[in-house]
Amino acid sequence: MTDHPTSEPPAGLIELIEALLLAANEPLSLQALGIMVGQETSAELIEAALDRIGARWEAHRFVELNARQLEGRTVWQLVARAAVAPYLKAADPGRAPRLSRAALETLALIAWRQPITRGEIEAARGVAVNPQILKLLTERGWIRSLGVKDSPGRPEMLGTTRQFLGDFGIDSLDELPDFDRFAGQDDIDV
Amino acid sequence: MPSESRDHAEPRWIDATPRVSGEPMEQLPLDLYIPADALAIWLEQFEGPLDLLLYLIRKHNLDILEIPVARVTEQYLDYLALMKSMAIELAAEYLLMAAWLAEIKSRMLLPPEPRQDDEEEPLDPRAELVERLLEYERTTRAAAHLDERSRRERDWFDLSIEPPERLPAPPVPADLAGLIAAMQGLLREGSVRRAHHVRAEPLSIRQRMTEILDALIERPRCDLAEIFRAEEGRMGVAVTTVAILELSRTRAIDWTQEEPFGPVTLFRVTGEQEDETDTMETRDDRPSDE
Repeated sequence: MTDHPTSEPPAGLIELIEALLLAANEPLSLQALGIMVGQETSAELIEAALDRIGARWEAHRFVELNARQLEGRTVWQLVARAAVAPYLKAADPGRAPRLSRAALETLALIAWRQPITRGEIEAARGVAVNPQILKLLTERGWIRSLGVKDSPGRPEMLGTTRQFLGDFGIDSLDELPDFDRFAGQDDIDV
Repeated sequence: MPSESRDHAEPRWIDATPRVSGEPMEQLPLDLYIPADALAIWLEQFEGPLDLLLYLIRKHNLDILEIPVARVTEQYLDYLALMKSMAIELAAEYLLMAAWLAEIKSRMLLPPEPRQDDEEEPLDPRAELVERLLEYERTTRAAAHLDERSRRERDWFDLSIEPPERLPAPPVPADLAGLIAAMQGLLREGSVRRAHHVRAEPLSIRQRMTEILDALIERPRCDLAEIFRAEEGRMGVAVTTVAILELSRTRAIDWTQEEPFGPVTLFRVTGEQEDETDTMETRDDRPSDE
């Protein structure tokens, strides 16, 4: 394989990488693909193969090769585009319901302020937490209990999950912009 | 897809004030009948008193750090009155906020309380409210930021082919040279290439059935051992056995065995049934229909 010109990845390698992207169930980095296909295949060759796969799916209305940054590396994943959503919902209308502002605000507080208790969420939003929202966020696998706070009443502390990071394409919690960045100084100065 | 750092958008407030001919209508016409829950949708978009207050402050372009409490309180109460007139049940939080606003308003009228450590400026009665409003505003923007991120099950969907086992692909331990050497060895031994000829089936069950019947025409009984031909090997035994079973299934022939492990005798089935003494077990499996 090593003597292959880098510009022309063999068809077998393209097909293999395509299958790996489908079977891996998580985005794959160049390094991970290198380990999978064998270290003797150069990174350039794998990249060239990824280019071909990307080009092959370019015209497809519902599938695309998606590249993004994760832990400072580019990772690739074959995904179905948002265009399939209405078709999936046709069979299962309850699937991945739209998030209300209340749910998003609650999730945001849990993400940025974790570990956070229900009472702290209520204080920040000025309204009682709707148990349905916590149930929805738990069912989506985005939030979990981080134990109880050592304070009177021993309230449950909430935090986000790995699934939350994956579903929102977030590398790690550090990657989230600083909460104070949302302060909107510009508005105040005007 | 997700990591493009879009600047966080403004919280999605919509100017919900009803307008008639472009004029905002904050007072409802008295003779207008509006179904009790018609304005519920309007109220829905406020996520609580903080949200409503922020909306009022932004709508009137007020400085959040210098809230004119009296003015805001008035507007806030007007709004609550409007909702009440619509028979919308107000959440307790809205009333609590009204009470708090009234308290701040009255405190503003009083001379500031001297602080214990009079190093700093006297405490502004609005300070806590401002802090909570700012905090809430940050929350709404953080929420908007989350919502803008490309999300699984909304903006993209997993594609996957399940591998036979959910194991991470192990690194390949062998090196290329070793693999090639092993392959060459196999090729040298010739075990990889082997000719395979497809031949016509030399033995036919139908043919054998005919032969057995023919043999039983010449003589009424015949030993099983005579039917088998050693030169045909295992395949011959199999074909002959199947042929006999097939013939007995159609009740063309039958067999007896005088003693355990003794010789099996085949005979043609004629009209009358013979006495069946010792028969092979397989007969029991035969369907009883003729």
